[in-house]
Amino acid sequence: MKDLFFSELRRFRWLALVAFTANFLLLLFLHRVSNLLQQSWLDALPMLFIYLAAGLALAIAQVGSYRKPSQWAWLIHRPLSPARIFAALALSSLALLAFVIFLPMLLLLLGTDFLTARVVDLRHYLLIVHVLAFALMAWMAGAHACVSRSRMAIVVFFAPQLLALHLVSTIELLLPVLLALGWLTYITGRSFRANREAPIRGTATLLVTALPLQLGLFLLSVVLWRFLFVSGSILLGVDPLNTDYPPEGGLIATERAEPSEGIALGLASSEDSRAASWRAQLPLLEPLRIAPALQRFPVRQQFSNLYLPTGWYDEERNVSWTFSHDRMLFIGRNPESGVAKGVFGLGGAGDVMPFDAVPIVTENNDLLTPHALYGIDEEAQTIELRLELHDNEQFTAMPQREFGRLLLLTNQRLIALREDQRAAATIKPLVSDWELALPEGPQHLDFASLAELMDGWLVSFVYGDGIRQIGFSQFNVVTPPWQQVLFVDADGKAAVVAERRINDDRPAMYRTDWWLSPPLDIFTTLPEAVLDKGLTWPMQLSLLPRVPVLYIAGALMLILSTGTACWWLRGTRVTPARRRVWLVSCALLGLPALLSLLLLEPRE
Amino acid sequence: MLHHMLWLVLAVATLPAYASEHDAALSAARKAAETAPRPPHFSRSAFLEDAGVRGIAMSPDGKWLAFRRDTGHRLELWIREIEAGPEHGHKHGKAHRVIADSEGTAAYWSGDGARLWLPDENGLGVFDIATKTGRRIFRYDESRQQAFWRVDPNAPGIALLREKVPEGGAWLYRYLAIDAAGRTRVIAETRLALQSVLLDADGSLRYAAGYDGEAFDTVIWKTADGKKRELMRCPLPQRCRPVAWSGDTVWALAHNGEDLVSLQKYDAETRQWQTLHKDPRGLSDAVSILMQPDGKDWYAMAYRPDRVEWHGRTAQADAALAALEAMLPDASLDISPANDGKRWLVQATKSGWQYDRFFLFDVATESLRELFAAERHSKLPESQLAGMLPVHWRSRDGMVLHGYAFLPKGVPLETAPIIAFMHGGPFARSNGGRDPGTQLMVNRGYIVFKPNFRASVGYGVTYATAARGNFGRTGVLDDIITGLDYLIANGMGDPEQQAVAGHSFGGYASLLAVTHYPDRFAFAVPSAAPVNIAWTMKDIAVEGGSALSADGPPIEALLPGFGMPYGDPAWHERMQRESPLAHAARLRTPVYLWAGAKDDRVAVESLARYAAEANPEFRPALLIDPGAGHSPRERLNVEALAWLIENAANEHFGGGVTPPSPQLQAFLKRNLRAGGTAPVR
Repeated sequence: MKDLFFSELRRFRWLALVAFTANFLLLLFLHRVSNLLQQSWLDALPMLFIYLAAGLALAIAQVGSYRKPSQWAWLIHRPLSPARIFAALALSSLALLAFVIFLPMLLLLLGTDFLTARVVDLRHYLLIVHVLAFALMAWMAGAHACVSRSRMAIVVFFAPQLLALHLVSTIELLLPVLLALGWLTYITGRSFRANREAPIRGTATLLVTALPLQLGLFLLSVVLWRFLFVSGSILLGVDPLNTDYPPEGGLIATERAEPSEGIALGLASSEDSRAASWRAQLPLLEPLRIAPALQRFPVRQQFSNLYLPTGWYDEERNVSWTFSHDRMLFIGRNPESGVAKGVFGLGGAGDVMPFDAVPIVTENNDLLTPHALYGIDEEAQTIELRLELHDNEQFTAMPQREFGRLLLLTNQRLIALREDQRAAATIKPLVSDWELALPEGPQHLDFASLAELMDGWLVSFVYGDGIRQIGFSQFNVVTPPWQQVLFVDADGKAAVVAERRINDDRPAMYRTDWWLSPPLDIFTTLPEAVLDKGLTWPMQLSLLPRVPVLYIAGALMLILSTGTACWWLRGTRVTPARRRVWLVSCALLGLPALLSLLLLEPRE
Repeated sequence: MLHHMLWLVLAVATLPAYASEHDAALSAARKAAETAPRPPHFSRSAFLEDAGVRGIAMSPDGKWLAFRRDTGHRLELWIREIEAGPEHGHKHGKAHRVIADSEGTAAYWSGDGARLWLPDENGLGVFDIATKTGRRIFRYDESRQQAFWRVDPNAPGIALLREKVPEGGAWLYRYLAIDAAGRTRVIAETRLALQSVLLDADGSLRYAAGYDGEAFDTVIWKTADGKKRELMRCPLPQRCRPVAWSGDTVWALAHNGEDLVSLQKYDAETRQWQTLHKDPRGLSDAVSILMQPDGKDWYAMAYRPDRVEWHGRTAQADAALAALEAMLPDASLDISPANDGKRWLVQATKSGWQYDRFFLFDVATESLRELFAAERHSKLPESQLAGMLPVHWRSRDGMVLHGYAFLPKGVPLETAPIIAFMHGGPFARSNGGRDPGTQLMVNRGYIVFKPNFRASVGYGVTYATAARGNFGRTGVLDDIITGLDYLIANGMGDPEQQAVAGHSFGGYASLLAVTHYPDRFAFAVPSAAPVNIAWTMKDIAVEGGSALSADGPPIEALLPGFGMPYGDPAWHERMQRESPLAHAARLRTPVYLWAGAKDDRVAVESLARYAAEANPEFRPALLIDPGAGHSPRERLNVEALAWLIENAANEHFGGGVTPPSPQLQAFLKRNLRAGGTAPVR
């Protein structure tokens, strides 16, 4: 085993050396250009993909070279158990990936930590461990695909991504990453066997191997279904997003309407005696739209920064303040000299009182944590609490300054505050003007629109059709789009003046993937609900949608999958017990289980 | 109240003395206008064009002129030597460009003429005359709300900055002297803002005027050794401003308990103020003062009863002023003398001049030399523009009021349409000076009437406070209506062709007129008009904005100071009841509204509501300027408002309108909503 391990290392030593040097120089270069440690996840993603590709490429180069039956026979018939052969290859690849990927990052991190005043937190050290683990997972997936019957087996790689690639605390992420790596290691190890064409032995191994495949196939099915649906709709000229005008009375028309038109649409059926006057005034006004665009707050020791500023630059004192997740306060550094400039805690410059959550910096140099708004008094070098939200309440949008007011949207309220301009203070005290409870809470609130009238305000809330995008993924449920318009009088008293149901522009079967495989749909949403991702309104698992058509489609899908599985299995030598396992799988998981069956069970 | 009554008695008693003379003047003016040749139709843009050189200021040493030159692309700041004038064999003295693009930069001469202080919104620059070099010397600290404040000619080496910082829950105003090297030192710290100061030569504070107390009285203090002693207190709406000092004597332009602003002198020995001079006609506040070159006594005083009138202290001064006025008859003169008093820069303005004219007046030889005559040459000849005709009439309650009429030439005035243009404020005034909008309307054959209704300033405290909250059906509106009646009765204006227009409060007054006199007016053009004055005042109080100085009295103190019962709920109710908004559904006159989408004084939503709730048959046309605040700023936007008025008048009176340029047409297409019966073509 040792010999195989070292011979594999020797095989790739020059390539590894070149890759190490290139990676180190590239990292150094990028670190000179920008602070890599405070990059947003979107900026860091290409680098992660490169490392994953490196892991995959190594697997293809290393294990793929043994894929030919003669070379496979030469490899597997060594005087070593297949498990040990696998271990030798896996350990050598771990060593190579650690040398090429982990070591340059570690050197850079240690150098930054000990030689500069830049902020280096525990999360940065854990991050490079996670990156190495992901690269190794890519290697495992590649190796698994190389030695499996079908190259489609590469889709198993989606499963660990789904489980482990999340913008959560690097500490919290240790468990999913270890689980995902262990899982992939297990199935890859088990796929190292003399007869790669033979059915997988053992029901447990089969299930553990099939599940990631099924998850991957589920995600592929979703993409394919959406692609086919949208392309078909476009071809038929009925896709609501690709026609000259969106359907009248629908959500897209409401979303695309000017804010004044949007409120007027809501008022169309209002029976309030003032509605005609409001409708006539709205085109003359410039209402504001405020959406819960702040989907998430940073969490402590987060894997990577969000696309939100977490520091500020004090031009007068030439101090750049960066938030440290270890100390939960800002660390100052003179960017010109690189000298450390102390700390900025809740009590201001020099104070070490930590923040209770990672704050983000607004465009007006206020600090926003999920539950509180602070002002930075640059003159006095202090921080003042401007507003604290109720228990369980958090901001869902960045504060907006319009109509001479500070407008705040939370998961419970829409709040309009005025700054007391005459108050003798740098940070003006906020005076309450009016506030509204969200009519149906934060779930799937699309946006609120506000129009200032002479004697009050018109506020419209539009709730969406359940499509929810987080990062690159959608986590959709089916909800009925809906609008409510309220009039808030000059004393802040609110009354509902109109409500309307907005038409669904897209059918329920497009808006949710539940019917494709209810358990897998829930499984893919599970990490969003379980892990603390800092979401400003929580992910709710929709176990049973309230749309009959989805049940019909789901049932049809399960029946069709099970029926096809029956037919497929008739031409195989699968044992009755295993046959039952497959049929139950198809009856439970539907199409992805069927597809995995086609890939895993050889047919005569 | 005592003043009020005394003043009324005086006014009633004095009107007949000049009433017949006044009627005769009106008659003569009417005859002169009717018999004059009819001027050609000038294009709208001809009235809106600005002169190529403007912002002319003489250095206090009398050697240099600073001025702005509009190149069409930018506004340059220049200085030019005076001495090398024609009498020295050169057409012009040497000129130097100070700033290539001076938009947004002010220019103030230092008291010795050695430099120009050049503040802009970011900081302060200085231009040294001897070396002809400029440099920036200071950048304002935004967090300390630093800003340029003023220059005191007594202290030539410094300019004054102001900063405003919170301290212990209250504002602290700090006044900093800054020298040409950018070094600053604090010369005063106050809890309420100062309004003016007088310094000595080394920049130490000698006298100051500023706000004091919860009622925001203006107080003049003498300051010495860090202590201050109150010399005069002027409760709102009185004003007092120290203007000069010499030894222990200080002169001030102040009400000091009187109805009119006059020249006051403080005698340190008797500790008494003495009134040195006031308007001999008893009508106007003092507007300007000239001191003797040695600074030991005053030289001349100016008032503005109708136009600016100067009065010398000595016969010699009177002679010099008379000579000057003889050369520039009927013009309002603004005089800036050099430190030695030998040479004056004179800015002369007349309603019939397209541009103000600038002159150098040599006091010894009484000779006058026009400056920049070519660059400021009027393209519209004086003979074809309207002169200002002072008008005085009596309102329903007997109060004598003042205003101006501008008469078209070569048309029978009895059948000429008449448009009343009301000023904003209301605590402001029309001054009868040059106004392109007025001339445009007069050129179209309409009589323009600019009433200084009660609440206007410049005619004393009683006049300014006489409205007593009557901003609805009566009071101010009576003054406008009686003024129109008076002119029509004197053969000026066709009773069947009357209209009203105005900006801000003037717009509100226009709306009041068509609201409460629904059958009288052909149309109204109210711009940035409150639709309920009490609501707008309350809105300003709540929302802040530019209507009120952040350092001056809050609205709760300011308005009652001018006699407006802002704190009385009954007044708010009455204003609401009598407001144009409350009567919008019964509107029977075509109305053309203008609103600035970013107006922080008169909220656009109030005009939107008025337009929405107006009688659908007479729904007002509404032009919302998307980039404008309370007033349009850019040329195109200004022209759009001018077009709105010109077009409305043409629709109803047929005097003609210059067709809009393609740019203006595009702007109107985007932003103008046609009304019910208010046609817009």
